[in-house]
Amino acid sequence: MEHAIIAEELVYSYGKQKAVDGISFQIGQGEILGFLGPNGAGKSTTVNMLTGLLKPQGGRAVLLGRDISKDVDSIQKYIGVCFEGANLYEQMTGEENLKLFARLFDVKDFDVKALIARVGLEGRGKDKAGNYSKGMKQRLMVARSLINRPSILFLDEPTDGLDPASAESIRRVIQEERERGATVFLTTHDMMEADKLSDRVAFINQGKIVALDTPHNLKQQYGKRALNIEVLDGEGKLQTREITLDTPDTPSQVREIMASEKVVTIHSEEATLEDIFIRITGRGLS
Amino acid sequence: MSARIIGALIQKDLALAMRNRFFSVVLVLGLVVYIAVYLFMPSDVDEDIDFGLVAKLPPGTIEQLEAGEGLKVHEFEADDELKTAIEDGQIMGGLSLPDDFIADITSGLPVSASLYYSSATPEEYRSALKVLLGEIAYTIAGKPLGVEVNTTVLGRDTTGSPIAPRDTLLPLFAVFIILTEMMSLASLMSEEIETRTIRALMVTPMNIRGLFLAKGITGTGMAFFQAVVFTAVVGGLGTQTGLVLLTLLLGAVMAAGIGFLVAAAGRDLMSVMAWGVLFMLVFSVPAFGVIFPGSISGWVRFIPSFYLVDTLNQAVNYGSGWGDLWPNLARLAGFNAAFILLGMWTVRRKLG
Repeated sequence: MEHAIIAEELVYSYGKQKAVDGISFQIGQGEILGFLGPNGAGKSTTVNMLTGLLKPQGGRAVLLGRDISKDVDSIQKYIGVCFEGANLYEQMTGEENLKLFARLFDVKDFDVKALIARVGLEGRGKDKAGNYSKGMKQRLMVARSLINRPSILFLDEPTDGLDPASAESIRRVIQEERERGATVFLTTHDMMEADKLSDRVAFINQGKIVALDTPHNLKQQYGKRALNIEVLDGEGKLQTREITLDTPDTPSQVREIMASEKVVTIHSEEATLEDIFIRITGRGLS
Repeated sequence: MSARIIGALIQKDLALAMRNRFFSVVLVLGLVVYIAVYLFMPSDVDEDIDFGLVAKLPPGTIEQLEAGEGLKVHEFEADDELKTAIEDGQIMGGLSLPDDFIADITSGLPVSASLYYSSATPEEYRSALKVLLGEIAYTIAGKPLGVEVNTTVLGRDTTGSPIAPRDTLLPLFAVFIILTEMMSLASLMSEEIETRTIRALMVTPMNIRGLFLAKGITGTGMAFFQAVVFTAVVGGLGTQTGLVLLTLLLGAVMAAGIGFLVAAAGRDLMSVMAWGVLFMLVFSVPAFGVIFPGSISGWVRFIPSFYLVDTLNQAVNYGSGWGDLWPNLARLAGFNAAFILLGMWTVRRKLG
């Protein structure tokens, strides 16, 4: 797999505060990387360096085979960025916002209505962006990031604070972009979303990448696999029995409960990415 | 609503305003600038007439003149010194009496004297100098004598070509128009920074140079267009059209440069307005020198808009041409370059 993004020992500090501390990773073409970490972990600084908004103070970032520090203008033609929080021209309509960026990207065959429809804003394209709800603004921002059919799509908290329908429509668009062959760099707090969408996830904490693998492998490596069995005791009250999986005693323990107790429910328990993040870093994401 | 609630609200707002670094800086800076301008202006009504004198008079003559007539005499050795003092704005006029003045006057021979004043010297002062010359002759001879006066106006002599009051306002209005557009540009730019739309632009093929160019052209274009429309409507393009257009263009570029500075300093529309008004007030001071000649002195040349105002005034109201005004244009262009570079640097710093 060719790499769409190669980050090598990226470093960035704000004064004495090291925001990104020598991180390295590669992302393949057509891959979705979930970039996870709490506030202040260095996610946005990393995105800013990868998109050319900040020049790395150390290391280098290569996108589509070109060093972003040396060739930012040409790389930016092929990337799309959806920022965290709305940054739209609110006095302009949704369509005007998109047309402006289509002109900036010099997209000749731009079908604004099709793009508006793609993000579920049919019929609202002529409304001022300032009158949109938060979810609509976020969808318009996602649409804006797709104008140039980017080879790499940077999405910073694209579903943060959205209603389920808006969030789902954005997730659908992300999947479609991956199917088209775009590489997606997805920054999010939402572990469920990352788990669902990402081919791999990277945990960043205090400016360093502390884990990088597929969600499945991370769960295998760090997660606790267990069965939760709810049974009724002699007084008719629910009790929970937990049996750790993958041990030599597991089959006999399961057999014993099934034989001797009145089983109500059986669930397999799998560690979430949040559990794993806490286990690795000793802190939560929020 | 009770006084307690109103008092609490006032206290809260005052506390918030004081904690706002922008308001604190503008407050202090505004005070400093206004106080400085105030202190530079004449501090009292000087009823004495200051004038220069090149003459060899009998001892006690000058003291006699100063004692009775509210006069203050500044003595000079030669005409050139006197002229330099007038041109530098130290005094508004002066007399030069020839070496044989006393001998001739006491002999009853016809005498002549040279009278110098600057083009900005008010008419009353010019008349007073002529009366003073007669007084000197009377003091020496003890009787009224006719003195032939050779008058020299230093700088452009506007005598005989008075400017209509509304024409004196043209430079002021032009500066206002140009600087108002400066605030529009600053507001646009500031909003772009504050709403972070500038970040969206910066991840497109548009780079920071393109952004400044686009904004600079927008700001300059808006200011230039309105200034040209105004000047054309009031008939200011009738003479020295090319020169006036170039001057307005340079003024518009200056507005763009200041617009960048104000945008970097401001955080929202209100703060942009506050900074903009500060610039407007200071930059309009030279225009008052056109409306009220003699009301401001040499320090006004340190205000960059002086070269815009003076060039417009000289070209539109007196028909001065390229030969007279190119130094003004060169200085204006120099200030423009400084403003643009400083403005771009401050905006870039703000963008991080």
